Amino acid sequence: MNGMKKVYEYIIVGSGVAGITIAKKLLENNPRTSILMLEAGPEIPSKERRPWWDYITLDQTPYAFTYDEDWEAKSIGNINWLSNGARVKAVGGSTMHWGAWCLRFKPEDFRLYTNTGEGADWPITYDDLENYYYQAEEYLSVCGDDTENWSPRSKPYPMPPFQWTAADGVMLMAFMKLGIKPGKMPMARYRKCFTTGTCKYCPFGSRFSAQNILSDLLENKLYKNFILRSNTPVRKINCRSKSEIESVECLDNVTGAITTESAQKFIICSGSYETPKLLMNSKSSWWKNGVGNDADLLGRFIISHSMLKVRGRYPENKERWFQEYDFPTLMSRTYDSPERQKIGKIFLFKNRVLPNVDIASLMIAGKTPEEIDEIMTGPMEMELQAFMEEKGKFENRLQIVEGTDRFGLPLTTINFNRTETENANARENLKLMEKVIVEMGYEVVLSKTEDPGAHHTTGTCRMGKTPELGVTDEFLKVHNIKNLYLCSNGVFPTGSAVNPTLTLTALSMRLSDHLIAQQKKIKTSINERSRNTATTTL
Amino acid sequence: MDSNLTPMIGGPVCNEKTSPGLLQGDRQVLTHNNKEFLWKIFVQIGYTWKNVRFDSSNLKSSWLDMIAAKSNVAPSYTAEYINAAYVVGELINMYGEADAFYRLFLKNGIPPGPPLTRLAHAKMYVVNEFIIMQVMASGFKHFGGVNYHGYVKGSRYNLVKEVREIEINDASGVKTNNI
Amino acid sequence: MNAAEIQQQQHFDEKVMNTLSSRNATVEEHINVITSESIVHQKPEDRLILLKRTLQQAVELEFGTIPIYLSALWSIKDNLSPIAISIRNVVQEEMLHLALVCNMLASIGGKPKIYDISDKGLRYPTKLPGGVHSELTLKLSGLTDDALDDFLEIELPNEEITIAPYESKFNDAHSKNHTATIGALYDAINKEFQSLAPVMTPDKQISGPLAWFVIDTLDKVKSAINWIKEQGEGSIDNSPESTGVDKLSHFYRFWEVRRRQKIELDKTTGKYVFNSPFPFPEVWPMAVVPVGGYQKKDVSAEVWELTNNFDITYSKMIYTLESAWSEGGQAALWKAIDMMFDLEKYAIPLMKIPKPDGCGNYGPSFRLIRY
Repeated sequence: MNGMKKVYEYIIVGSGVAGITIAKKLLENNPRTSILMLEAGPEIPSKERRPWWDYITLDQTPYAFTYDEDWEAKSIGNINWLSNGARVKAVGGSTMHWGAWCLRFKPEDFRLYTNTGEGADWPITYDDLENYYYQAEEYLSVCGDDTENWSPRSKPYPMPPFQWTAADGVMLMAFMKLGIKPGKMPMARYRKCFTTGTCKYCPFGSRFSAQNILSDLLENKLYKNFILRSNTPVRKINCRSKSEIESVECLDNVTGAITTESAQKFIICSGSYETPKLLMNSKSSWWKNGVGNDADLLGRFIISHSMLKVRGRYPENKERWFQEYDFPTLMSRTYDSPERQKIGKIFLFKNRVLPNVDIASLMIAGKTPEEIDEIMTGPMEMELQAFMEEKGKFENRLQIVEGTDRFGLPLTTINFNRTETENANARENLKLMEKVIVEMGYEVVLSKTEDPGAHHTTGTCRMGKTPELGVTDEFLKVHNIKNLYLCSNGVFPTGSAVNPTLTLTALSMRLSDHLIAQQKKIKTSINERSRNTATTTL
Repeated sequence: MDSNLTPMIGGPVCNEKTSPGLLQGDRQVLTHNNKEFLWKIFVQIGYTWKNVRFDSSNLKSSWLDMIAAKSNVAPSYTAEYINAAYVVGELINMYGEADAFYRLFLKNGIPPGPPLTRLAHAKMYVVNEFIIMQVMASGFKHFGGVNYHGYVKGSRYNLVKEVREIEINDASGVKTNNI
Repeated sequence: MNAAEIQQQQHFDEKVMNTLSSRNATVEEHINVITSESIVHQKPEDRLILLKRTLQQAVELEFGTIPIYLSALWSIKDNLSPIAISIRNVVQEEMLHLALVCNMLASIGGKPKIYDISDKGLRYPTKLPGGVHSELTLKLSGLTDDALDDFLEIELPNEEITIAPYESKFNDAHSKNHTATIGALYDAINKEFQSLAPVMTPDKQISGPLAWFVIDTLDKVKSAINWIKEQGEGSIDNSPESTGVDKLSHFYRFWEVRRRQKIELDKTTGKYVFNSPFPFPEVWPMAVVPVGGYQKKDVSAEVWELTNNFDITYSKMIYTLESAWSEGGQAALWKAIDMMFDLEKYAIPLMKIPKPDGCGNYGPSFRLIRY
């Protein structure tokens, strides 16, 4: 036994929502499952008082230092791609800072290529995912309106929606007059949400954070074989053959030790940047272009959401509206429809911050109570925002370059470009949004397409029916490799117009079920073989 | 408030030059007397802007939570809090209590930019943060509104609404939240 | 003073000393002492100790009923049903009363004690602390008519009930003269505060959505007590006529569930009556938890894991909550609230497991233990 290295049943790379959801499902199925979870980033405690007070008084968050710096993720295309602020490199991943807007994709999002000749089709349909969407909504505790039916659903939301606020009223009326169906933003919030408005570092843990689930898993004495190693970036995947992975090479950032860890199955859940980067960085005689990358699809087709913004001004704020929730309540998916797929779907929502008066800043600036009152009832601004769907293009890509970031991961470049047609489509969408502001009786003071933020990056290791069409098959298994799975936003062939996390969670649950079913099949087959052997022996 | 025209208030303590970063205080202890004096500064915010009742007593427990978090965890604010006590002490000696706080909050003459004097430190690290805390802990209510960034209003299952909700009249005049 | 008066005073002094030195003085004894005219002749420091002890009894009374309401609430399958909402509001109000009473105690330098793992600590089934409503035994169970009868008894209003005849299984007890009611206790506390006028400080008090205000003046004591009584503890007037149907007091809310009928205004008569049907909700059939709670040797490993984890979380939560009024401060309150929501993840799975004797399902034992 001496010198025999431990072989885990699973190695999960990444401790965000995907990795943790899969770990949880595997352990609930069999508490003795041996899982090694490797996370490049550090542990950042949640629900602590000093970080919360610093968030209130200084607008600082304890995980902001993990955001990509400009030299760590460079944009080199004709559109400035914004990585800074998009992802948290720490235990729990980006659910440490996410807004938790939880919307399902729509059936047409799975058929973008068939419907428009652009982008790609998924190798699965909405119906394949519908039951998992519901499970994900229960797990994340999504509060939504059952009557809206933007996407077909077989069961109601687990929790009722957050209602529209008084300040939503003007925009809501404008929506209705223009035939835009208003909706209530589905939010993942537990019943213990105390509407503190400090969602980015909730003192109660009322917004789903993978880190809190992970704490439960680590504290559960039944899960003896579940291990987390933080500050441990995985640098390379080692193959036993072209079709089988043997181990991963990891670096302990604290001690500097480099080790290899082996498992029967490997699941890479490192987000849409690091998942393809790890494979690309793992070149060998079998895989000259990186593991699973003979078709040169890794890092390609990168898309995210650009935000469209139209801001309006009104000369008075008699009601003294200011920000009360830290999430938007009014939204619409009227233009998130099959008819809009060609021009670019948009998902509309009211800017959660405006109208706002920063009362404390006025007091800090020495304004008297009378002056503050005048400002509060003076001119105000409201803003309609939208996520616009982008379509993946082969030449838009994410790549690794020489060097490592502060966490031991390879440096990144993103080459993202838009065509003139796409820019023109964005302007058309803005004109639609301007109509809303005008209908409200406001003066348009801003109308622009922001540069894409990397928060919703997808496409970089997409699913496809064949190795020519995608890096993984419909069960997220890398084509032609028997024991390597990818589970991150990067596997999405299309980005739709809405936030990806609910869909990622649903995919994670589907993958978990698939892995569990495979385990059972293997067990059954082993049992049958031993029975046959016994019979033969007899 | 035009700080370019107003000369900076205070005497030698207030005007003493310092570096702009947080004053070092990681092992210093904030005494009970220090805290009582700081509370006095906090209460004056409510008196000046008349936005909190009962001498701010409802806010004291949250304020104590903030003071403890800021002084007991690195980087500690203890030295800033003690500095503020001396700064305000000098202002009270020079101008009397009412006028001292009026000047400190509304007419302090501190030039814009990083804090380079003891007075500027007291304003930025103590007074300004106290104001933010006061507004968020219920001071905002005076200006309208039901909830605010940082205010722990309560869950949706309470009887009291947690934000100002919409009221829509349907054709029959009934207020409803559904379309 | 003449001889009789001297003797009366001595007798009263003895009574005060007995109450002060007794660890088990009843609510009735406390009320009698602090509302007596002779109290003003006692030393202020003794009066202060007595007032603190009396407030501690109010703390125990407010705390004692919360677990029985929580058991009933968690047993309701649809936690958004009108009945669940109603019971949850009662729980929230009871927690608010508890916090306000703890604030009152802290205002005069006292430290509320809730985490008590000694023999004197709360163990279910139990009588209400201090001998109040001695006819009642508080039991941990799911929502049943029997539990509702107990809730109604706890919340029984002082004023006449006119909406319908109220038949209670405790009618015999009603015919006896009670001086030890919860309402009388609050009246006594208020009277003594106003009379003694102790120094009050906001320093160890807490505020927030479950502790609406800090009590540092005599006016605030009066407001807090009026407000607690209005919500349901031995009221001023909490009939539907006074409160309206939107803000029914606890008694009337429970009675709606018990009778399976909503209270509504009859527009023709202008009177409040029981009218529309109010169906009993679907519940987990949580059985009454036996004396001492479920023991490890008597239950399966799965049940023990759940019930033990519940007790550990509950104990941590109560310890943390108690510390909010001493060294823990406001932060301890937030932590306790967070932990409170964790309780359900053990309580509800327990309620889904049938007992082997076929007499209902398991439920949490609410034991305060060392952890």
